[in-house]
Formats: sequence, C-alpha cells, structure tokens
Amino acid sequence: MAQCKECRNFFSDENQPAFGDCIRKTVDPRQAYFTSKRMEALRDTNDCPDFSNKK
Amino acid sequence: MAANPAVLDQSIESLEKNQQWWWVAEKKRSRRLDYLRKSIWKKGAVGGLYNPGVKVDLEQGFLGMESWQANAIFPEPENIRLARELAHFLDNKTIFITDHAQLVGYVGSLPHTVSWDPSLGEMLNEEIYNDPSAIPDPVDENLKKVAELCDFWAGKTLQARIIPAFDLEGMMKVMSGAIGWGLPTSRSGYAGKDYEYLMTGKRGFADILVEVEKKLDETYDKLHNQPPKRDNSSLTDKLQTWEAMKIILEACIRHGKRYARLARILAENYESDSKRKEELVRIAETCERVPAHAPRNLQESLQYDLFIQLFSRTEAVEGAWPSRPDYYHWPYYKKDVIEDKSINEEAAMDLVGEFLIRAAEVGQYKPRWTKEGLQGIDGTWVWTLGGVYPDGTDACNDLTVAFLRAARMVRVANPTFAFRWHPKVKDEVMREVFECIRHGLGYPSIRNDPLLVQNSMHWHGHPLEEARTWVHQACMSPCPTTKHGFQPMRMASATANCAKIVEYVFTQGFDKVVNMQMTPKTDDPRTFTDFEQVMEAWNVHMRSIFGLLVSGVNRGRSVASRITPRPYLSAVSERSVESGLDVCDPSISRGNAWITGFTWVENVDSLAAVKKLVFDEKRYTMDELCKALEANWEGYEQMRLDFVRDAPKWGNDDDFVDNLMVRCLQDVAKYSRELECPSGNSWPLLPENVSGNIHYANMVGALPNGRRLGDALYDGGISPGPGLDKKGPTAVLKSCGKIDHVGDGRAFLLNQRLSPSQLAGEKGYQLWKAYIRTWADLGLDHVQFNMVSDETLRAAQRDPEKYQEVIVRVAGYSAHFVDISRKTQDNIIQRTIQGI
Repeated sequence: MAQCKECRNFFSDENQPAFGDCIRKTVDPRQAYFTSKRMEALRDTNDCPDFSNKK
Repeated sequence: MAANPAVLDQSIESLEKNQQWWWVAEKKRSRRLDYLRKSIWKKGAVGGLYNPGVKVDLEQGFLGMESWQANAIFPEPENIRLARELAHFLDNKTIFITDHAQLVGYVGSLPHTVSWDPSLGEMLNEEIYNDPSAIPDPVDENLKKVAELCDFWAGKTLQARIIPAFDLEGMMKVMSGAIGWGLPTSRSGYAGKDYEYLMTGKRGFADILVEVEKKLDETYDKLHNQPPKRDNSSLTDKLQTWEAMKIILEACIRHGKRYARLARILAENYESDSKRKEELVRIAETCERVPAHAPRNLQESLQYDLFIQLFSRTEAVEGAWPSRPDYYHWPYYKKDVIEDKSINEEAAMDLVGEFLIRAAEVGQYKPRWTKEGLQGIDGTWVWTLGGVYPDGTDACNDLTVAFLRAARMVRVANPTFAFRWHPKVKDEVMREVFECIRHGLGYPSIRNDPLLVQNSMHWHGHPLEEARTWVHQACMSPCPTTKHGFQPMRMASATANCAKIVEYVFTQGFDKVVNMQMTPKTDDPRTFTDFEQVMEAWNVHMRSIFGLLVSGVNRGRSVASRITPRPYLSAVSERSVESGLDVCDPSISRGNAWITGFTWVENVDSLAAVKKLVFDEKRYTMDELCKALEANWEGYEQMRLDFVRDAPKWGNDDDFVDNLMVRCLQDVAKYSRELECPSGNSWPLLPENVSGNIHYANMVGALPNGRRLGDALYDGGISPGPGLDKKGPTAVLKSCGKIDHVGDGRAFLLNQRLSPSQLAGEKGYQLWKAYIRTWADLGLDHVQFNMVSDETLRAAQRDPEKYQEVIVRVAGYSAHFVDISRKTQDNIIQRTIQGI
C-alpha cells in the first residue's frame, strides 16, 4: 500500500518529519498555479488519483 | 475580455483619442500585470449569483469541524477555541502561488473559490445549500458535503449564540429587512486596523508575541504566586485573551512560512527559468520575514499588509478594507526606488499593481442582501490616498502617484480609492487624480480633508493629530488608525432605509411590505391641517427607526467580547495587547459610530411636495394624497405628475426644498447627540447608498415625490434624484453647500456625472480643477464622478461582451458596468450629465 512519502509530489518537512507538502500544478481557465496541501507522510494514497511513485 | 486584434493594432494615441481606456491599459501594462489582471476570478455577484466558475470553498468548514470536535472533550473559552480553530485552518488549508505572482495569500483554498466559514450563521449556510451555482463540481457529491457542514454547525454558530442576547421584538424588525440589514456581530462588517501599531516599521508578529508572553508571565505570576485579590476573575479572563492571541499569532507566522516553503520547493524543483527562480526565492525570503518581523523593503511591506488583511478575513466576513497604502508603504518605496535604487519605478509598479490585483481577487460568500446591495463587488474596499501627516503637512508622495497610475493600468473595480484633498496638494498629484477619473474608473472620490478632520473632532472627539490619520472605515466614514481611535468593527446593521421614514408618516408606522407595525402609530395623516404635524410625525418615525438600529448594534458590540470575540484582531491591536481585553471591548475604544442613511433624499423631495401642493397651494388634500399613495398612484397619474413636476426638487439651489433638507438633517443631528454608542460617543448620520436604491426598490411603497413601489430609488447620499437636477452643476453644489458638513452629519455622498468630451485635454483638466475649487469653497466633504458617455454605456448594454472592462461609479463604490443589474445600469444612465 503506497504512502504519501513515496510520491514524487510529496516534499517532506524536515522540522516535522511526520508531515510534508503535496505540491501540484493546476491550470484553470484563467491562470496557472501551484498548490501546496499539508499531508501526513504515512497517509494511504489509495484514494489519490495523482499518486506518482518517486522510484 | 479577449483582446480584439483590430483594436490592439491601433496606436495608444488613437485609443486614447477614442477614450478606449481599457485597451490603452492593456497595451501599456507589463506582461506580468497583464497576465495577473486577466487571471482574476471576479468575486462580485451579478443579479444575486456569482459568476460562472466561482465556487464556494468547503475547506474552512471541514477544518473548523475537526477543530471543534477536538475541543469538544475539554471545552475552552470561546476566544481560545476560535483561535485554535483559525490556527488549525491556517496550518492545513491548501495554499497556492500563481504563475508570475510576487505577492501571495488568499482567503480561500483555490483562486476560483469564495471562502465560507459555516460557523458564522445558519441563515448564510442555508443560502449556500440553496445556491446550486456556487456548489463545486461534482455538484451531487459536494451538495452532500455542504449539507453535512450545515447539519454539523446548526445550533453551534455565532448567529445561534448571539440572537438570544438581543431584544427579540427589535431584532425581528431589523431582520425583516425593511428598515435595515444584517446581523450585528463583530465577525461581520467593517474592521479597521491599528496601523499606527502595526505598519510603522516598529514590529512584526514575533515582536507582538514577546509583548503578549510578558503579559502572560506577569498575569500567571499574579494568579498563582500572589495572594488572591478581588480582580482575580478579570485577570483570568485576560490571561485567556492573551493566550488566544498567542495561539493565533504563532499560527500566522507559521502560515507565512508555509508560503516560504512552497516558494523554495518550486524554485528548487519545478522552475527552470532563472528569472522566475529568483522571484520565487524572493517570495520565500519575504514570507520568512513577514509577518514575523517588520518589513525591510516594499515587497515585504506590501506582503505584510496583505497577510494582515487576509488573516482578518479568515476570522470574520469583512465588507470593507480600511487602508492608507501610500502613507504606510511610502518609507519602503522611498528607500527602494529613490534612495537605494534597489528596484526601479517599473518594478515598483508591478508590485503596486499586483497589490491591487491580490485585493481585487478576494471573495467571501455573502448573503443575498449583500449580493444585491453591493452588485458587482465583494465589499466596499475604499482605500484612502493623500491627506496630511499628523502635523498637518502634505502627505502626498511618489507612491500616491504610483497607486493612481497602477489603478489605470490594472483597472480593477475593487479596491477603489478616495483622495483626501487639501489646499496644499501639488498640481502634479491632482493631475494624476483627474486622469483616473477621466479614464472612467469612477474613482478616486474626492474628500475634503480639513473639513473631515474637523468633523471627526466634532462628532467623536478624536484629538487633532489622531483625526489626521483617518482612513475610510467603509465607503465614506473617516476613522483614525490609532490605538484608541480605530474602529474594530462597524456593524452594517446601523444602515437605515430612510425612505421608510416618510413612508411611515402616511402608513402610521405600519409597514405594508412586511406586514408589521414597525414604529409607533402616529396620528392619521388625513387629519393633519398643518405641515408641522407632518414634520412631527416624521420625527417620531425617524427617531424610532434610528433608535431600533442603534439599539441592535449597541447590544451586538456590548456582548462581542464575550460571545463573538476577535482573537486575531485583538492580537494586532495595541489596546488589546496592552490591556488583555478583546478589541471590541467598548471601554478601550473612543467610539466612531455612525448611521448610514440609504434612500435619504426621497424624504426631502417628498416633504417639499407635500408642503407645496397640499399645505401651501392647497391643490390636493391629505386625504387625496393618502388615497393615491395607498393605490400606488394607480388611477392618479395626473396627480402623480403634478407631484413630480410641480414640486421643487433638491439640487436646484431652491431654498424651498433646500431648507427642508437642512431642517431634517438638523433634527437628526440633534437626535444623534442623544443616541450613545457603548463607548459613550454619538451616532451621527451619514447619507449614502451602495446599490441599496435598487435592493430597496421593492421594499419602499409609493412616496409623495411621485415614486411608485418598485421604481428605483435615488442613487443616494445627498445626490439629487436622477435627472431632477436641472439647473446645472453649480446649483447642485450650492444646494449641497447649504448643509453644514461638520455639524449636520458625519459625511454626505454626492454623485455627479461629467461629460468625457467636455473634459478632454488640458482645458478639461482646468475646468475640473475650477469645479473642485468651487466644491471646496462651498464646504462640501465629498464628490465622486462618472465620466463615461451615454453612448458607451448604451453600447455596453447592447453588447456586454465587448464592454467587459467599462467601469462606473455606482455609489460609494465602483463596479464593472456589465456586473450590475439592468435596473442599476439604467439608474446610472438617467443621472444628469453636468456640463461645467
């Protein structure tokens, strides 16, 4: 079962290793932007359509 | 608006000659500003609905729910609970950085969202549930989520807690929507900021934390290590208030650092363009610095200001943005652009323009009455420019000019500017002000600074040096930015639908629209034999309506510290940090209350018609007039036309009606001194409208000025009725000049339309300047202009797609013409174009 920490979009937080940020790029009809969402490193990614393994 | 290649092929000179200012802006602004300007999702509602694609944000509701549930086992005082809830949100919400952006931060989680805090009120929550256009896709799934939030928060909201604190009869009358609007709470309205504490380069949030921690240590010591005293109970309250401040200040600093981290991740992992990499690193450095510490440069100063505002909008729904950006950011502009030359004017223009854009994109879900009353915008964000320093010297500077130029480049309808005019303003600054008006922005409005400083001292006793720091608390009302002078929350409920005063004279206080005896039952008007009896009844209803609204707001303010505290706003306010009292506590505020008077001039024109046609000329009886009004003038068309055409109208330098205006205002001013706010200060009247004249069109019955139920009301303040000012602009100014703009009320809005062709070129500027001189000589405190031709506005009605960027002055705010209702559009076109 893959976890967030294994995803290439996940950036671990050195100050709080149990957490990190999921960084995604979005292009909507008006603008392009990057989002950051706080995530637990061990979160199960089964429900995540954007999971992309680092390896 | 998609660029039309044929138009963009034209030279700037040609576009300027044709007064196609929106295309001029597009050709002149930088690539960055062009991208960011076009990236805005407009958050103003059109016809009560948000624009396609704009969706309500569900994150704050669910994160708030998590926080509430975590707190449920060991409930804490409301200020600490709320601070924890806000901190949890700031720590976990989705954040974003837009391409090309140099400033960051938003109230929602994504650019196209309007924020929603379901802990505020069930009424708002139900509106969202019933607004399918705002539910995010996929709608079915998210509607269930909205329902889950509505169910969870039912009974736990601020509204549920505060309504039992009110006198229910009074509250029912206010909430009927006939005489006023809104729920008087400290988490919904217009929050000022203690800029003198925050924005003078002396401290950031980490410095305030040191002050707060010192207070906590001292108080803890008193409570735990010293013999109990009788004030220990209040010390415990203070301890909790400081604890709440500490929680939220730390969270705000962490939130800034989240953006810093995101920017660094992007620079190091995603960005290949070296210039953009540098910009991202600068964003990271900026957000590592602010809000924790005082800014060092213009970018940090603007970012700090933006964070301060956005955090406040996380805690509350704010319908205004009291601000003075050219004053508080000037030291940094001066250092960067003029002294150190670390950035040039163009780079500074990018930052200033983006600062306007970041504000323009802010959107919080608003209830129906706000969406209708503030068509096309999210709130009345009137930023103050110009004015004087506390010692009275001219405060206009190069950044004043930069903001005025940036406004013409980005052409946002919100924020708008109001310019504090005084006799020492330099000509080059006045030219920039005029250029904004000539470019059809509808702003800045012009405010008479010396007179309004005097007014602040007269009504609220603000000391001279503090009065001179004033900013617009909302559209119009001045308020200092000082420790005891700034206003933490002006609740919109003291906004009176004044046309009801004269309507109730004829209905004996019974409101036929909402079927409620609203004010005392005065004598049957058919029995009146003298105009003085009309005025007596008018005074009864005026006092009753204003009294009802003021009572509600006074109560809301009095219980705010206990029921609806503001831990964040307290944490950035010197008086709270010092005292340990919530910022809304009336004992630490001087008071700066006012009653906003919508639909005011209808009273004066109606009273003049009654006096002339019934009592002076005896052409009609009161019985006939009552019958005509009861019938909504149906079957009485000739009589109605007599009341329209043969009665004198305000704005024509006619003493018959102008004296009535002054008399009514003086009656109100006398009552304003009897009314007290919880800080013990007075409640002066401030006549103005937003688009309340349209919102209330179906609420106000037939009136003796010839108006029928459903007709648009006048556009507000002391502006003459549209098309009824027939004697030219000087006559309008002379009528308005008969009012004492210090003693008769807090401020008086005046809309004027000027001809764009007449005011072209240097001659146009000189004409306008002479007009402003007359305006100032006659002692008026406000004037604002529409300078877009009927031809352009009618073309925009026919073909809105081609005129997406045309801006008009609605009332105390500007909006894109295509974003306001047809009725409001027509009302603006009907206003007289004055030749000067």
